[in-house]
Amino acid sequence: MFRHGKPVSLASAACRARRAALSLTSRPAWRVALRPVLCLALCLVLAGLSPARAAERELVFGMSAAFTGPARGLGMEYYRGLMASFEHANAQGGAGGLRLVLSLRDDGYDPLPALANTIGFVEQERVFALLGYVGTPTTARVLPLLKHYEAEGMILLFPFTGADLLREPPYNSYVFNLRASYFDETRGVVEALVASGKRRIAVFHQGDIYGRNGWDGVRRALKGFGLSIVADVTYRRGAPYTQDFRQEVGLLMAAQPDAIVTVGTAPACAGFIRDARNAGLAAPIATLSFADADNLVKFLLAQGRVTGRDYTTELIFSEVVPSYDDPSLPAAKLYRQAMSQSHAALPAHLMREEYVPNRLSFEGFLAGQVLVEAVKRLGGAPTRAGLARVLLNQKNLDIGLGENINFEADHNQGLHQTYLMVYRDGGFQTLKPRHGVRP
Amino acid sequence: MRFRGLFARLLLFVVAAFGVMALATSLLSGRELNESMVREYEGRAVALARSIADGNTEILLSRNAGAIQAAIDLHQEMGGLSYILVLDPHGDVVAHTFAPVVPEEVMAIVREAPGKAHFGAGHETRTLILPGDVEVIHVAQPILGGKGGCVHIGLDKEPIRKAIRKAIFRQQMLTLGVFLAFVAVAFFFIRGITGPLRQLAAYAQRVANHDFTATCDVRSGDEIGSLAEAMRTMAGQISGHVTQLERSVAEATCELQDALGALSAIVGNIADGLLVVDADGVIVRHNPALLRMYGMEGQDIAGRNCAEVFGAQTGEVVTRSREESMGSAAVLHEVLATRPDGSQFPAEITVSRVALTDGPVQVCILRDISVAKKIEQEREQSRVLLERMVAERTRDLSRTNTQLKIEVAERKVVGDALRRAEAKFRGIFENAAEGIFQITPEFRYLSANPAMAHILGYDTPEDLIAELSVKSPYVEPNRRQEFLALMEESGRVQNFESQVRTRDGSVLWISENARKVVDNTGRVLFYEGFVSDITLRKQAENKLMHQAFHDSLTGLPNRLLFMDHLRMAMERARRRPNFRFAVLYMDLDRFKVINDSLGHDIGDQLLRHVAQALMACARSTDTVARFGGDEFAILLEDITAHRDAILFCRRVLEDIAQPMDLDGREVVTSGSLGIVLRTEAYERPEALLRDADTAMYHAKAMGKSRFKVFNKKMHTKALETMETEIALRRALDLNHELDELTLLYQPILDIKQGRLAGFEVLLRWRREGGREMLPGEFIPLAEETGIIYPLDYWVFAQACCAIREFDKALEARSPFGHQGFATNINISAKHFRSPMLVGHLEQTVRNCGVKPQSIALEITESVLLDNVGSATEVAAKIRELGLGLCIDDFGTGYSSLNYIQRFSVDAIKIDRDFVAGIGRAGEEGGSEAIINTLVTLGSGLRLKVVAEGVETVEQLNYLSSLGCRYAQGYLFAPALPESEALRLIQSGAAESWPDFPGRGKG
Repeated sequence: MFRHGKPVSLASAACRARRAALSLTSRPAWRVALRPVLCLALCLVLAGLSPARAAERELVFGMSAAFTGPARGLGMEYYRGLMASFEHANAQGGAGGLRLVLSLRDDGYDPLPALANTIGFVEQERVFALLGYVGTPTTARVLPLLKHYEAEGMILLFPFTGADLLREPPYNSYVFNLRASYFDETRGVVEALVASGKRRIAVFHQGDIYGRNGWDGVRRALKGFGLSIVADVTYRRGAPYTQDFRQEVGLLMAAQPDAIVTVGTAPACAGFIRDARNAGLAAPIATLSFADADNLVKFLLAQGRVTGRDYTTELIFSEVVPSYDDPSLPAAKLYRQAMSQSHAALPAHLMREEYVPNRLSFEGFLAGQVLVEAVKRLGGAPTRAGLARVLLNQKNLDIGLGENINFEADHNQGLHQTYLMVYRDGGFQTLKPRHGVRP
Repeated sequence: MRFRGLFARLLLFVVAAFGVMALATSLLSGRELNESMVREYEGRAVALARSIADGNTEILLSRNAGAIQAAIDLHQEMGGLSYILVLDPHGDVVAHTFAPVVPEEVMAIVREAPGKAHFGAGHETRTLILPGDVEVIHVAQPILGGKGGCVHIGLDKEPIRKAIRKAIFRQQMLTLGVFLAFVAVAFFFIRGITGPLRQLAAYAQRVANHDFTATCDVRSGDEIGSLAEAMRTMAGQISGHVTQLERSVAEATCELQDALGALSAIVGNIADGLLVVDADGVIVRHNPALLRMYGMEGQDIAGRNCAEVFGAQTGEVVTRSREESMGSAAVLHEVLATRPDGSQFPAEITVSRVALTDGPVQVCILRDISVAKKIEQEREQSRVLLERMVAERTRDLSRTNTQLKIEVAERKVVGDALRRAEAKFRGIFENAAEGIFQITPEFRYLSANPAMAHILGYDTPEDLIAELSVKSPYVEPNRRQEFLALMEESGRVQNFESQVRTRDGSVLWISENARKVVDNTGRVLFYEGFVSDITLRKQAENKLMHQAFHDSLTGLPNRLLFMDHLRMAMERARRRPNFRFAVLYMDLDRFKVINDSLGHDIGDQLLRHVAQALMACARSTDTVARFGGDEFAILLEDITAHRDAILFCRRVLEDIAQPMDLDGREVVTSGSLGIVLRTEAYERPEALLRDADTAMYHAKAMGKSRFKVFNKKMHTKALETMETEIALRRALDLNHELDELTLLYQPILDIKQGRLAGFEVLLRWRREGGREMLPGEFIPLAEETGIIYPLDYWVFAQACCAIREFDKALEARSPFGHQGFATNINISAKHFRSPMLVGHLEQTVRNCGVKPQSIALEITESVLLDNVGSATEVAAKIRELGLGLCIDDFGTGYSSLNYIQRFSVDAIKIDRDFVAGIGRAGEEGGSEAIINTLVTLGSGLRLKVVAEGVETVEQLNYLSSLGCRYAQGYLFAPALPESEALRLIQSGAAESWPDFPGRGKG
């Protein structure tokens, strides 16, 4: 998507449009409808006024994520990272002269709003591409829509999910994934657990595609060792931290597991860990990257302060990005610098916590950096097809992460390395990176 | 209540029948509904399972658990399923939607599935009870005949059960509604039948109780209607019978009671005794009178033997009569009855026989006839007495007859005397000079004497009576009523004066005196009175009246009448806001001249002529009055606009101005008119007239033959004038106290010799408050008001005293050297009309002891002009006295030289305006020529010529050069007080003026 116009007015117009979209559920429909129309009218008028100012062209990307509800931490942090990257690029004159703008809408980690948001992005805002969708069920529901918009070449860039569905036909051609898949992550976890002598592995997973995907990953990895899952329990998506998981813990404990892999969100996993530890289950518990280790630890630390015990021991966190504290990584350095300069242009009512460095935002930042690099190479006339071409054509892109990024036509995933961490002495420690394997 | 029972039974039956029907229907249909819906839901579950298994074959075969999970999540969400579970071909669970784990019940089915012989055959449906008492329809559907695994779904039965319950409930409600509607209809229907029956029953009940007032309203065409109709008819008939029966019984009873009552009353109250005895002589019945007759009151004799009670004789009569009276009517017996005490009385007994049911009885009526016998004796005695009285009365009557005959003879004598007297009075009546009449209150003449007939022009009293009884002779139609009213009020009428019409139509004044004549009961018989002809007296009175209110010369109303009319007009204006009137005041110009010159005859004719002219101009409603002299006043009443009054004035002035021929002389006159138009503000007629007069004076002052409408300014001016007049009069009357009036003396110089030749006396009035009044301001007023006479006399007297002092002073200086020294005193022209002037002057001069030669009188030309005749005479007398006469301001008026000669004037004065014109030939050419002429004239006629108002040396020199000898003015001296004037003379100014201008000191 491509616009001409004064930067200030366009930025504000876009901002207003965003706000209108975000408040979809709380405002009267006519006002919601009216604002974008007015903005659009203004934009068209302004576009007519100054057609020749190439330096002020901009690219708008649509992001639908959870900014409310239990999973809102994910959306916010990923957005922050993306914006930090965009602002960094825009501050230096844009990516190849193009100003990058992120338009965001809230789906509350619910598939149906995600679907509506996507239609809004494509048909009302006419964004250049979809970027940074967060969550497996939401993104999975959007995929058929991308097929629907195939004629327009609409693509989804770097969604925050490791689901297999995004990496397999028939939808893999509409999506570019940056992060390692859940299969990658579960394989890493299972290998590590088996290597440490654990044989009875149980799974606690979310009762939906994300959870089942993780479950499948664990199952497949165990199968490689001739093992199978000794027990599995599910929980309903959207479970808050306060939910009682003692029944689930009891069901798992009946199978006497010596390790548990959880596939869930931070509040659910934290709640499960809390009840498991309270029930005396001392076996190690592993989580996936989607569980947002920082957030999860925050829950557990708070709980620990209340009950006076340490819930953070015997926890293994699987991650798809290295530590942002690692001084040897130029990307981490840049991330911290950009974040400190970022104005975090998240709407005020969504911005409840102060910024702290976070793996999620780091991942968002990395995604933004990859996008910036790609846009830089787009040249004068940006198109979606052009962008896909650039992404596929650039080989061994180094964004200072220690792992080069490659996209291929039959393999749309940029990174494969996963990292296992533990929380020790008030901080995360990387056990060892596990180098990913391209299937 | 029987019918209430019928209603209840019928209703109960209907309700029970419908109830059973509805219950049966409801139960049956509920069961069928339940079964059909369960079948339907099971079918749906199977269809869902099949659609999941067949619709997602590809995903299910992919073994990608995530994709499978996504698919079944979608299906669960969309199909309202409670769970979906997918097994792989090995029977392992690939994906499911349970949380947290697959329940054991489901797992049991899953585990047995692969071992089943018919696994590949198709779906399998069963009902499961899951933990939490959730009943589900479980359907297992193999994928690809079991090669691709198996799909298990569970459909919660709870919603199904709920739907079924709801449907059944709805249906039962419907049945209940229909049932209730039926019951309601049945209720009304049954009530429609039993209600009239109940009414009929109640009706019959009431008829049975003889209540025939009851009605039955049941009317319908069915059997109940006919039943009701039949009952109504039946009840009507029964009612008729019963009522009639009851009535006849009541009537019979009533009659019997009446008869019985009457009978016992008769028996109890008859004076005769009643006795009923049976065949054996036993008393059956009797009445109280019988007992009274026998003196046995209170005893009961019934049942006793008759003979025993009343004695044998009576008993015998009673019983004996039995045989006699058998079959015939009553038998009468007379017996001597004996009372129990032994006394006897004659009695009459009537016995009759009556057959009763108990056997025949004797009914006897007994009458005590002792009283009747006694009365017969008394009657005989009375007859004898009466015969004796008749004889006595006859004697008395013959005596009275004799007396009456004597009286008749006496009356004849008195009647003759009366006739003689009447003849005497009739003579008076017939021959009286005054009319005498008798008249009824209805004005029918009873009699009238010949004088009365004569007065009213009738030949005989009979004519008069015949005619005037029909019509009233009075000119005024209501006069008869007034006469009657007076008569009824006081009983007499005195000097009742009225106009009557004689027989030939001429009108007379008569005076009537009459009185009422009444009979001794106070009834009016007639009025009688006298009539005298007072026509002559009336005429004389009217004439006097007219003279009192009219001017004799012109016949116009005089001031008195005018004021009366004016007052009435003002009254009217007050009552009627739109009533307007105007008041005019007219004075003839120069009437005095005409009167004096042509004689009073002509003057009177002129006034008559003017009066006629005014009358001709005025309307009949207006009042034209003469106030005496030549003053007229006109009251124009009821004018529509002010313009009317103005037009009237114009016409009057025009008419008057016409030359008229009076005794062969043509006389022309004119009038001045003053008008007051705004009459509404006035309270008093005098004020109105005064203002008209004021306006007239203004008109006159503006010139002759004019009219002037009175306005506010005039009023103000009149007020001022009045004030001034009062002040002036006061100043004059109290001059020795107030000292407001002073005399000043302005030197007159002989400019030829350069010495003082005399003074002019000038009057100064310093009014209260210090305001100086010049003579020009107040002298005209003084002349107008007549104050001028005392004022001038005062001035003259004062001046004479001063002149005597001057003379003394002059003589002191030089006894002979002051020939021609004279002091001029101004005298108003008015005096020349007054015959008093000369005498007064003479007296004053003599009193003061002053030489007449030292005094000259200054008069204005107009004096002479106005009044030539008398003025000449007066002037001559003044000259005879030795006083000098000087004409003031000569040359400004008519300047008739004739006057100078005729009045033997010895000095003239040149007006100050001419003197002021000296040396200014360019501006006011002619002054010098006039002065020159006057000086020449003066020297020619040997008159002293005095130039007034000399103020400059040039003027002096010029006058000197012309030969003008005398001059006065500020150049020499202003007017001086007496003391200074005297000092001037003492200082020798009369010989030589101390500082004579133009010649220097020498």
